[in-house]
Amino acid sequence: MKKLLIISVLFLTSLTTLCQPPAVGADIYRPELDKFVGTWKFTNSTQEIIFMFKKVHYYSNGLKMTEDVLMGSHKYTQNGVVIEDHLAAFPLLGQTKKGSLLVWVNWPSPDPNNLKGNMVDSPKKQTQPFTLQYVSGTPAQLVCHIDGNGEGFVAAPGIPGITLPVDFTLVKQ
Amino acid sequence: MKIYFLLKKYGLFSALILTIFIFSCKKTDFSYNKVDRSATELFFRVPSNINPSIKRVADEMRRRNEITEYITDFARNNGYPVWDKAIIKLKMPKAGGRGGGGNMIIPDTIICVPFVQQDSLFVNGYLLSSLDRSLSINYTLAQDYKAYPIGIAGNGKPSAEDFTTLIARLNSMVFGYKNFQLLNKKLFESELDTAINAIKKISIGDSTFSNSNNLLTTYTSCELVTVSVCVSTNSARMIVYHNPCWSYSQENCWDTIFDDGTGGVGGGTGGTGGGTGGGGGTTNNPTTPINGGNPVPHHFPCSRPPCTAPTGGLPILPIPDEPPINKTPCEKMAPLINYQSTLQTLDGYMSNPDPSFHRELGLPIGPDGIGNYEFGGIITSSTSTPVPQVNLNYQSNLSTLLYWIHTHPDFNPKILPIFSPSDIMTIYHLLQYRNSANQPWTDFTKLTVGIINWKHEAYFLVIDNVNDFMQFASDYDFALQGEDNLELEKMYNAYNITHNTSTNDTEKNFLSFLNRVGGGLKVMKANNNFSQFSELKLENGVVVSVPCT
Repeated sequence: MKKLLIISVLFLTSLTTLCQPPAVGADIYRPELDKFVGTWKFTNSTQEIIFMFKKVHYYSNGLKMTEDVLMGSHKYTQNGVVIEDHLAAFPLLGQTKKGSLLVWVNWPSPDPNNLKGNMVDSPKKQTQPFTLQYVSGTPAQLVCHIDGNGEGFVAAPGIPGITLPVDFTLVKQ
Repeated sequence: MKIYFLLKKYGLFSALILTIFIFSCKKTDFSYNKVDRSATELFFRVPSNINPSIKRVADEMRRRNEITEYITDFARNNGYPVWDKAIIKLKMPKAGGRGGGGNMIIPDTIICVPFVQQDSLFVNGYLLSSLDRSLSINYTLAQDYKAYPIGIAGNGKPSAEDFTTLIARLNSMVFGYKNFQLLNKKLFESELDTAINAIKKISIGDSTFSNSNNLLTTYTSCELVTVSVCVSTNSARMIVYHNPCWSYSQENCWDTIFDDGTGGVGGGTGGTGGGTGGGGGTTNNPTTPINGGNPVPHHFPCSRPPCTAPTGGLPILPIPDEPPINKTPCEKMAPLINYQSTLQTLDGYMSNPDPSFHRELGLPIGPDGIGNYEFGGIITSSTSTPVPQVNLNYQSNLSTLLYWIHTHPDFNPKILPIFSPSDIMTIYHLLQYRNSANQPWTDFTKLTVGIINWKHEAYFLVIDNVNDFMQFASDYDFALQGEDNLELEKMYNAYNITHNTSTNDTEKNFLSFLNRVGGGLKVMKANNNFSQFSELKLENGVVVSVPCT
């Protein structure tokens, strides 16, 4: 009985710990992000979406910790018209420039194939939360869903809606 | 330790000596308010260890005064020199001016001695001497700024702003003032958004001077001073303390601002250059008449006596450093009691079955009442994404904003029961961008952002420590939009605040989030009829509610 109590306490403690973000000063490497690095593309008859990702060992001034994250840029073309294009900044992304896509391993419950992120939605002047699900195969695929609870850019009020489709699947290039 | 040793060894005698020493030191500070000293004695009270060049100026003035007494009137009208705060600079001869060194360009030493009137705590002007090849002694008064064009510098002449900055700089050196009320509102107008009809001030910041033994002995021709042109806290409009100013570097070049109208330095002691310059200077010859026989220093920028110098008021007055008083969180909430019924109405809209109320609503409140409601887009279905959010209209009809309160209704599972990252950033943007045209004015000492959720819980965020808040905003790049503030949402997401999180967990997680980011913010909560507010705190992982009394 005593052992059971101790195990229960340890279990609950570990759960509590898991629900906390990493401690100040943490330095976390995420090898599971490697498979997301590269260029991904979605195409249909009217739309083309390109995501480019790189892994950055990023020190966050706000979080006061270092962690591997994915930084990326994206481009959206509709009926041959470029709606949004952040790709030019991709080579510059790193510690001092984050890009239009920021993706990380979920803290409370890490899942190497399911990531959370935020993207810049310039036409709507918002940041859109989204999820990425990695589907292995040849080629690999990324299932993207934009949650879009729409945090407007405060100084430039947001416009309702999401520029990109809510759901689309990107293919590794 | 040494003092203790002396006391122990020599006892009371040491204490007496120390006391005399301390009070002697203190006595060398300003004591222009003393009226029991003669004007002459006060005027020439030059510290014994003063720079020889400065002593030379003082000696020359004393010599002239011994020929013809003028110090009494001069001191009464203009002030007493602060010899140990003098500025020593080199000044290059003007092209075409009187030479002095043949082909060699030899700079002249110029000395600027601020002076202060009796019973005053303001540098009223300064003595200006050039002394290497001639010894000219002139003076100018703060009111002389009128002799210079406002907003225009050039042709080797300073602008009125250059001159005013120098007066402010001297006051900063002598009295430690940093902020000055602009008495002439035309000054620095080009630096300020003229659409803002508010009283202005300037602040003097760091300069490139190096300081040695209270003497500014770095021989550079120019000094860069950080000047901030600000909206004054005396304005009828309230402002944020942290960024009421527009800063820039003001360059004070001694070659121009110390141009005493003598046509350039040099001459006097010979040389081959010759020149055509002015007539105010004197030679080193102690018997040479000064100013046409007048021993009194020449009043420039009136260039050639006799002439009429500007008259009238000062350009600036010092403002003692008094940081704005931040109210306590409860004090900030207190005025909201007056809007109890309004808040109840706002809360009630979320229960209205009319679909036109299926939206976020925002209510700005100013010191004189409520502003126009703001409307978010209609939330058409419980699954629609993204959820339309209400944005604060920066062209609100309120000129000053105290409270920005909006609803988080229950029409979509994406809506949060407490502040979103965007709501937090709103505080910063309201403060930082309040200079934009038509945007309401805000003041961190009073601004509160609130939300009322579909569970009829009302939370309010107040800034308790503005420095921590600004650091928080800096860490998360609030100033930048889009890609640079994704990180705040990353951090926020880590604290598991969702639509369905229980009230207790929502409060606990949000307070944990604030503890982690250290944003200087406090969370207040209203009771169910908005008649009482409490501060929410996290103590040992438990949410504690401390009612305002």
